Amino acid sequence: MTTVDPPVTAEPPVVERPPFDPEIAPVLPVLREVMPGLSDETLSTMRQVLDEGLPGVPAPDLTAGGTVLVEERQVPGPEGAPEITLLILRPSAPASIRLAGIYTIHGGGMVMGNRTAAGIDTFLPYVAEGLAVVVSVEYRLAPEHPDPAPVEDCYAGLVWTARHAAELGIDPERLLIGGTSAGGGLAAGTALLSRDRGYPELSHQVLICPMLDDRFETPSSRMLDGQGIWDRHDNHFGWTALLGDRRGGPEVSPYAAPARAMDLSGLPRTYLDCGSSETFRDEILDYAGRLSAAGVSVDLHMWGGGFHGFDTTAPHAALSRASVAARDEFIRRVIES
Amino acid sequence: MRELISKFDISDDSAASALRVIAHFDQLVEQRPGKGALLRAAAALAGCTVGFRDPATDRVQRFDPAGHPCPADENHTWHRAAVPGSPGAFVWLEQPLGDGPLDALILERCALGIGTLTTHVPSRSGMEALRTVIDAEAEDRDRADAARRLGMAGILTAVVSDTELGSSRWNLLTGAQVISILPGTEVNLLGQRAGTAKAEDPLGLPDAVKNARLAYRAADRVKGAGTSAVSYEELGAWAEVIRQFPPSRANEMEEVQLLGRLSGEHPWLVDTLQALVDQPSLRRAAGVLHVHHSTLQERVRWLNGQLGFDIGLPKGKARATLALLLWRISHEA
Repeated sequence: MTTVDPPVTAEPPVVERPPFDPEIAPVLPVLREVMPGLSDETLSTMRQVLDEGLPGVPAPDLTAGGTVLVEERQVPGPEGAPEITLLILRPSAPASIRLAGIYTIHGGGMVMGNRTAAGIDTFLPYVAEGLAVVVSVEYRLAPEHPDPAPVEDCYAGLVWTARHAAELGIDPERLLIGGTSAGGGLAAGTALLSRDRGYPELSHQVLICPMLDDRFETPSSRMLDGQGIWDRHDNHFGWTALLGDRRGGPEVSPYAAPARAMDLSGLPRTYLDCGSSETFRDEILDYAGRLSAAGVSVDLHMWGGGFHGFDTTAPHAALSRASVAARDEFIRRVIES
Repeated sequence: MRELISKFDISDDSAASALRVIAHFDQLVEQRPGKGALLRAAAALAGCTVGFRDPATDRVQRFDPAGHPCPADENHTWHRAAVPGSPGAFVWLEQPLGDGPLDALILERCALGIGTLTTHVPSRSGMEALRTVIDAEAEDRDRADAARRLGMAGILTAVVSDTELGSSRWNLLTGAQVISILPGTEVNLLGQRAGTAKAEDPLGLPDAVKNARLAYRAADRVKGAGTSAVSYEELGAWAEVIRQFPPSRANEMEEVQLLGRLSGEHPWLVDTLQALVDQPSLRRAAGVLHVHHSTLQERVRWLNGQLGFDIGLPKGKARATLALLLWRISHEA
C-alpha cells in the first residue's frame, strides 16, 4: 500500500482558538474514540469506519423509503484513466418538469469515503421530495492516486452529467456542485476547472466546510492539536497524501488547492460555511472574501464554536440546527425556483 | 449521536454504552450549556421526544430527537423523573420506559443534570417555598409545609401584575409578570395593571394564581379608560369567555380586526368605546375622557356608522363590551 509517512507537521502551532460550543463539545471524546488521528497505520481502519458506517448502524437508505430511484453508471474517466462510477439518485415519481441537478463530491480528507457516504445525506432529502436529481461521484483516493486523479475524476463525472442532463431530467440552468470537507475542496477545484475549460456551466457551488489550502500559513490551520475534528496533523496527512513532496511548495495547482487560485472571477454563486473552531476556518473566510472581491455573490456562514463537521456529528444541538437550516434555506431557494 | 454513544458497541456491551451516556451528561453539565442542551441530548440519545416542566417559569419545553423544539403540550402520561432540588420540576421521555435499554438512565441523568444547573438561586429557600406554594403540580403536603415556612395562613389574594408590589412580602417574577401573594382581601392596586383572585387558604393558591392570570388578561393599561385592576371574582361568566379565547383566536374575530383597523387611524377609539360602555351617561364618559360633551357626541355618531350598530343602546353596549375584551386579549401576545 502507498504510504504517506512521515507526515511531519513542521509549522509552529497557534495557541489561541475559540472554545468549542458547550453543547457540542461533549460529543468530541466519543468521536475521537471512533476516529483516532490519521496515519499510515490507522488509514485502513478509518476507511473501513467511513465505508461501513459505524458498527451496528445500518447504511443510509438511499431509496428514502421508495421515493428515490437508485442507479449506478460506469462513465468515461479522464483521458487515459479508468472509468468512474456515478451514483444517480432520482425521484421515483416522474417529474413533469426538469429538476435542479446537484453534483456532489464526498468528503474524507482526500483519502477516505465513498460515493454513498460522507455527505450524501445532505442532499438526499431534496430527491425524496421530488425537487432535485443528485449525482455522486466515486473518485480515486490518495495516496494511491495522488493529484490530479481525484479532481480530474470529479470533473469527468461532471462533464458526463452535464452532457446527459436531458436524459437525467436535469435542468442545465440549475446545475449545482456541492461537497463537504475534502468534497467541498474538490467541488471548488472542479468549479475552477469547468470555468477554465469552458464547460459545463455551473449555477451554484455549495462548499460545506471545504478543504481549500495545503500551505498551513493561516492561524486556524495550526490551532488544533489533538483537539476537535481534523486537527493540523490529520490535515497534514491528507494534503501530503494528495500532493506528496509538492505540498506547500510552488508547484501545486489551484484545482488541487483552490485557495491558491489567483483569479476567482466568473465562478458560480457560492454558499460557504464553517465552524469558528476548525482547521479550515481562515482559508474559508479568505476564499469568501476574495470571491466577493472578484464579483461573485457569496453567502458565508461561520458558526461560533463549531468544530469540523459539527452539524453532521451533533445534529441535535442548537448550533447544528441553525447551520443546517441556513444551508437548507439557501439550497431550497435555488432548487425550488 | 445516538448511534455513536448508545449503539456503538456491536457486541451490545451495554455497560460501555451506559458509561458513555453518563460521561456525556457529566461533560454537558460541566460546560453549563443551559437546560435546552440537556433536553436535546436526552432526546437525541433516547431517539424520542423529551419534555420538561419548569415550575419556576410555569413553562413546558419539548424537543424531538433531531433537536427541534415542539409545542408545549403537557398532556401526557409518560413516566416522569423529578428534578432533584426543584419541587414540581419533571423530565419525561415520550415513549414507554424500557423501549430503549438506556432510557431509564438517560432520563435520570438528564433530570440530575438539570437539577445541578438550576440549584443556585440566592435566598433560595424563600423563593423555592413560594414556588412550591403556587405550583399546581406540587403535593399538598409540600405546599402546606412551604406555606408554614413562609408564614402564610388564612384568606389570601393572588395578584398578577407588571411590577413588583411593594406592599407584598411574597413576590415572584415569572416570565414577563410578577406574581404577588397578599394576606386578606383588601388590596391596593392603584397605578398597577393587575389581575387578582382570592384563595380561602394557602392550599387554594395555585387556583387563585391561575384565576388572577386570567383576570390580568382582561385588564386595561393603567392610563386607559377601562379597569386596570381586574378581580376574577367580579368577572363572572366573562371568565369563561376569556378562557376560551387564546390571543390568536381572539384576533381572528371580525370585530376585533375592525377595532384594530379603526384605532390605527383614530388612537382615541378604544378608550372612547371603553368609556362609553363603562360609564352610565355620555356626560360621565366625556369626563373620564377629558373631552367636551359635543366632541364625544360627534365621535359617537361616527362610531355608530363605522361599527354598524348603536352604541347608545344596551344591546350595542353589550356587543361593544365583548369586542373590547377580545381586542384586549388579542393584544396580549
